[in-house]
Amino acid sequence: MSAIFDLVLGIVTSIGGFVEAGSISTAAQAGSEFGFQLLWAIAIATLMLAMLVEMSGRLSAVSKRSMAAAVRERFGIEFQIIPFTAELAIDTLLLAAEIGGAAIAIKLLSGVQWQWWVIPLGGLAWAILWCCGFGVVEYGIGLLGLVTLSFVYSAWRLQPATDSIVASLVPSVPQHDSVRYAFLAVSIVGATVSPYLLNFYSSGSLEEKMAEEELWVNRVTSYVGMCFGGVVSMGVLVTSALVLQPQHIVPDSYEQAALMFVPVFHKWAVPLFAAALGIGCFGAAVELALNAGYVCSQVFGWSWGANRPRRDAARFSAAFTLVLATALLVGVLGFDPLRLTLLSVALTVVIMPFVVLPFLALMNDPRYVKKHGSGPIGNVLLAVLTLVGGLMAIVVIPLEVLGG
Amino acid sequence: MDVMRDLADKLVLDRNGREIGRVDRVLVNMSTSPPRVVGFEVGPAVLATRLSPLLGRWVAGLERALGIECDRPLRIDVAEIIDRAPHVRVDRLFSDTPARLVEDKIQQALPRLRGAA
Repeated sequence: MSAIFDLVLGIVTSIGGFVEAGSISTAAQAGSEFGFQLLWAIAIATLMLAMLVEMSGRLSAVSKRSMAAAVRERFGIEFQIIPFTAELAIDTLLLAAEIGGAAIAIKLLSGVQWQWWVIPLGGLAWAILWCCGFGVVEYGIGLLGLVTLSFVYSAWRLQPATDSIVASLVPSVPQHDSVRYAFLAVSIVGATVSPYLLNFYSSGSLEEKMAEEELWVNRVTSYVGMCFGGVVSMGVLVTSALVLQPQHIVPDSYEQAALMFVPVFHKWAVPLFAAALGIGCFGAAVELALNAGYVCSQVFGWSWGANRPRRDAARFSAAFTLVLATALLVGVLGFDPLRLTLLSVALTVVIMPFVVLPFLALMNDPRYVKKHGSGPIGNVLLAVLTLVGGLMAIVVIPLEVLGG
Repeated sequence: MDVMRDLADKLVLDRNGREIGRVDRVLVNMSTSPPRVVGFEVGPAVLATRLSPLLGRWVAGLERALGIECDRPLRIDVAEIIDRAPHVRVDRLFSDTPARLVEDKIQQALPRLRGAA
């Protein structure tokens, strides 16, 4: 009964925690500029994420090590320093972007400039991390995040043509602005397959003491939860395509993106969009900061754990506090959260090969996963997608930046 | 002993299972034949030296500036190893290691809220 409860809770919170600043902004822009045409990018990214999350849970359940700890042991600090520093830097940028997104959500409700909300939101995130255990962070925020299902409801009410949606699940060549199209495809993958999610999930499996016998729970939660989460992300794209594209609105701010809810929710459009954006972004911010503590502690061998008394894990607490403070500094400097999000998620794809490829090696090493190694199809698929994504990102990011 | 597999970069636990750090440098006596592992070291400066000697000197300087250089790096003799798998467990107590000093200093700096109790 407990396993079924864990399963349902895991799936529900995966759905609630799926959408955040990156997925909302990339899907909204993709829908407004290219209609349904980039739905395939969400589908592929969701499949990749589900596979990787399932693997990271399996690694933890079998080896009793998180992803960061296993990479340090298997490849040494000489290799790990590359993904570690890159991930920490991008996570800090993403954290600033998520807090900025949550601050804009409050601005939508209050009218007060978003910069004023950055420090209070950072303080609230820190207080949650300081005072609450893993369950509150994972399940509490995930359950609140179910408000993001409003994107799916909105898309459903707008009655999109089913055949167009199905046709868009196959990659196609754009009729205009191919660099922008490729950049958005890369950004969608980066926003969905955030490397922090992999270590966060493997650390969470250790926090919850997942046993080898519960691997089936891990598998079902990962695939079902992430696939439904992907549907929420598709809901953003479809709503944006049906509402914003006909009016030629390209959302270059979250305030403009909120307009996509108007035809369905009318006077409740802005409050509902603000709630979905705010909870999604704030939840991701708390997870990002917590993961920064996890990664630092696991790489250097410090005591860690959200469920541990803070006095027993002072360096872990100092790590998430420091990363949060750095992100707040970036936020206070006034970088536009939407632009920061798009840049961070695109950069994520560049570092992805350094994160995913060693992880795939670990998932085929019997010293870590015993008999639970990954199959050849999954290995090849993930390796190819990661390398293609990384190469594509290296080409399109400079083109996009140079093109303004 | 397969040094790379059994020792390098492994998590080091004290005799009660508390994390001390990771094996940042393996000490090998090259004067014997064959060369013999005599112990290992734990500490950020040692770890940084593996990446670059200059970085190692910077980190050692930072340790001195923060007043946490005492007894660093932590050197553990191979005879003190109790267990090597899944983690390296040694016959030491966390409270007797330099890591304790760092944890104490951080605890003094961070506020004592409910979570810290």
